[in-house]
Amino acid sequence: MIGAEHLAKRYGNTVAVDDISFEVETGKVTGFLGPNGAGKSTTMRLMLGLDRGAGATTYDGKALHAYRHPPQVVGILLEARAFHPTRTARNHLRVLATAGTIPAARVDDALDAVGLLQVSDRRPGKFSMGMSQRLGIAAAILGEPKYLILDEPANGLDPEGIFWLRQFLKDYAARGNAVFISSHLLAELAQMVDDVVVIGRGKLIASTSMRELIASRSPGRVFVRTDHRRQFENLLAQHALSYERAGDGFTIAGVTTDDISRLAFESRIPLLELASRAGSLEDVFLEITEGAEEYRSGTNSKG
Amino acid sequence: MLTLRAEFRKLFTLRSAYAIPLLALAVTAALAFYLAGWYATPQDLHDPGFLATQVASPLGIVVVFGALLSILLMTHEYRYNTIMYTLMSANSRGKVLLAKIVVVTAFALAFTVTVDVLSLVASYLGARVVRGHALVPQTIDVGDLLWRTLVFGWGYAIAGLVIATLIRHQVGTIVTVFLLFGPIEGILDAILGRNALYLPFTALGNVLRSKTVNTVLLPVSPGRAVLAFATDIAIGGIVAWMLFLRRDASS
Repeated sequence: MIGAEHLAKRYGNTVAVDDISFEVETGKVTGFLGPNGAGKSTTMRLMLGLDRGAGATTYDGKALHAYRHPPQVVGILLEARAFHPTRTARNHLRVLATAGTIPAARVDDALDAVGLLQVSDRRPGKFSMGMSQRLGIAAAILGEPKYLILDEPANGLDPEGIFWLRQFLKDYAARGNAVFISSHLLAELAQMVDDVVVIGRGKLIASTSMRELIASRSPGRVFVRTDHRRQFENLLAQHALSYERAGDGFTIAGVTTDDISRLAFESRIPLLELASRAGSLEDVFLEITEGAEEYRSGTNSKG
Repeated sequence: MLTLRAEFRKLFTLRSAYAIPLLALAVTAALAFYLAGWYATPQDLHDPGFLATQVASPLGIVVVFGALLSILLMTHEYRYNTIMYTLMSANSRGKVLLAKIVVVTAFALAFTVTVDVLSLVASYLGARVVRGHALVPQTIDVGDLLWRTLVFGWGYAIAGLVIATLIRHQVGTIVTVFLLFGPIEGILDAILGRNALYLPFTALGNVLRSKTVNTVLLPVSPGRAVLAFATDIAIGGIVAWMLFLRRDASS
């Protein structure tokens, strides 16, 4: 387990990270969410000791520098293009393998795992963003570490790459490892993560399982479509149910599909469509980080 | 030890680690062969210290290539963000900086010896073999020449590393180094007068010049010049070391 305790970081008078504590459990993928400028990258760097600040992060109870070979404990991807542009992909990983006491054979294994074996002797300076991300992921998994800390690893990946990454990380965590991942692709993250840590303006907003987060913040909604619209509206009014018209149907809050199915059956109203509309991670994210955005689009922009 | 091996691997897998020394050696060969050997004056040919002088002369110019490579070894880490892997790989930042110092030292010593030998051979070839000049028997105090050129070559390289560790920005470091050993020390030299011999690059220059230019009366012995440079570099090195340990990895 990764334990981050009271992480804090100031840049002059600006508080970038404000006393954040959370845990990342093994066997799970934990998403790290927050608006731009919320302090996600700074928090990750603090966790790794790359930035100097207050607080402590332990990996299985020990500080990272207490391990003899840190790359075998934590694999990182904080910047996609963190490589020398004229050092070949293979040599880039060889340097990392040497520094981390990782067997040289792992270099080709890692390149193969991310699909870059064919281009391993090419200089990565001209790699696309997607290829750069894959090289970064290869660097992260090189030492087969128990923990992966990845900052926006899906940026620049094509749909096949994103699908591959999702499966890869889920499998990696399922093998008893822990994956801590930040991403702005919330829909993608929702399919991947078990737990979430949400921050805004440097402060912790939530640290819980994704299921609990969505359940607590987003009451159930049901979508109904019927050709007896007036009758159905009367029925909803009789039972004091709040609803909105949505296209040729209705969205009803605070009920389940079972409730609506029973009501409609008792009133002999045929339903053409009945579907649960659970809140999405995106909905919840927007709700809980409202007001915590560092940068926000203008609402009255002209032209 | 692993950090050290990784640093050597970094150096040997960089294109500039080959291109810069090769360029430096080409310049050395050209300077020694043509300017020193081919165009040797009758006075030169009757000087028993002629070849010894030629060993030191090109080094005074090509030493900047050695400094440049040591600057790149550090500043590339920040420019390309590989510093996060470097710092993550070792469980102590001190080990990382120590490894870089060892690599720069090894490179600088090998580079200087190569330049020394090439200068000697090229100037001899230019003067004696190709032009057919007759040289008086030459006297070369190998030990004296070697330690002074090695200190000079290493000094520039390590000064480059120290300044790179302080500044971290590649262009900023290169500009600073060139300004320091050129215009800035030149101006300070005019202001400080005799005390200018304590300036780092002036001190290094005095280490190299001492016995090779007999006509110049230097105000300081090579040993004292080394001491002056060592003091400067120790002060800069301690500040750089402290900052390397304490600063954020991002520049």
